[in-house]
Amino acid sequence: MKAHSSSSFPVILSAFLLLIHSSVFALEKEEGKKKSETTVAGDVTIHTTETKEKMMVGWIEKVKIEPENLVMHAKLAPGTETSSIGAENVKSFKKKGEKWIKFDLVDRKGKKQTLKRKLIRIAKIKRPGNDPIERFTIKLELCVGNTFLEEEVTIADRTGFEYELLIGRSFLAGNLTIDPSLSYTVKPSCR
Amino acid sequence: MMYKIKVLLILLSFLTTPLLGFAEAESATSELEEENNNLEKDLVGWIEKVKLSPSNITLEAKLDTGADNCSLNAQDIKKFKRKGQTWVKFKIKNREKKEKTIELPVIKQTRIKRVKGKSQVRPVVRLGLCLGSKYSEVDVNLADRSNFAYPLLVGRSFLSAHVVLDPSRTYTTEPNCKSD
Repeated sequence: MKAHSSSSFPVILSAFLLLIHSSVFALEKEEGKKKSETTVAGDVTIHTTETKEKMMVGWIEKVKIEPENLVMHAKLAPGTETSSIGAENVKSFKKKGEKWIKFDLVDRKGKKQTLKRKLIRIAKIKRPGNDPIERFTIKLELCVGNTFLEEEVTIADRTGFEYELLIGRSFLAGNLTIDPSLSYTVKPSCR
Repeated sequence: MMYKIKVLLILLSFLTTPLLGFAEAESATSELEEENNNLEKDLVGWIEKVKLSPSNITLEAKLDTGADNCSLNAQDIKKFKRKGQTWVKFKIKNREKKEKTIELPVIKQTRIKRVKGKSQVRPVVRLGLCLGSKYSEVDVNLADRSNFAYPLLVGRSFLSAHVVLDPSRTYTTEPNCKSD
């Protein structure tokens, strides 16, 4: 009896150790998997205390304007509230009693396309020593990464500036976070 | 038969011990990598408080990833010569109406493209900026203007190394850099 009980103790201990080791090993592996999700801009999402996940993008990104399928290069501008776009040949016209705006956009490759949008509002901007100018605001369907929004965009004169489109906080807030060290991290992929 | 099973069991329990250590180490390194990634950059809003060095004055700053460089609204900007070098003396005021006068050597003159109006030539000085726990010395151009709301504009020359920006948030942090 004594011989039997003294030989079963190391077996029980080993079985116990084996159980502990394998379960701890499995747990660490599982934890390790979760923690090793590396940060790759464009694919990564920042989990905040809010329910909405925000995509991380760079300071310049390609933006697609729908439904014309126009791809433009945009500077993300968190310092500005409203988005604005540089356009040429800006003209207003009447359509079924409503005021519309016709304007030309030039994509990165130099291809020009004429767009027509309903006028949302006009801002008359006084300039000391100059004639006041009219700024038209229209709506554009914009796609950045997989974020798709219909945005109010002001048509501006951006001649001499490198990026035709400025994306302001009205689009960015709640949807995107910006890594200023990166650029062109995502392609428009809203559908 | 039972004896062989016992021996096998004892052997296995010993063999799995180093595996345990390996799993722990693996999870520890990925944890460290994650920490390092997070340590590299802080998540901040688009308006933050920034402490300036020299002077130690705290200013409200607009963080703009669209700006290449940093710019500071200063008043009474006056150039003078010191030991043959061009220096500049200027005043800055914060929201609490705290005022500081700073004297610094001029690094260069820079031409700023303005959205409205003509381009401007501005003196550039070297300033230390502290945002959250991140500190860097950067070139800052001085604009002769009073704006106590957001006198400092922080561009990518500072932001790229230190932060990622959440445009939906403001005032997420206070300056708390370790002084060397």
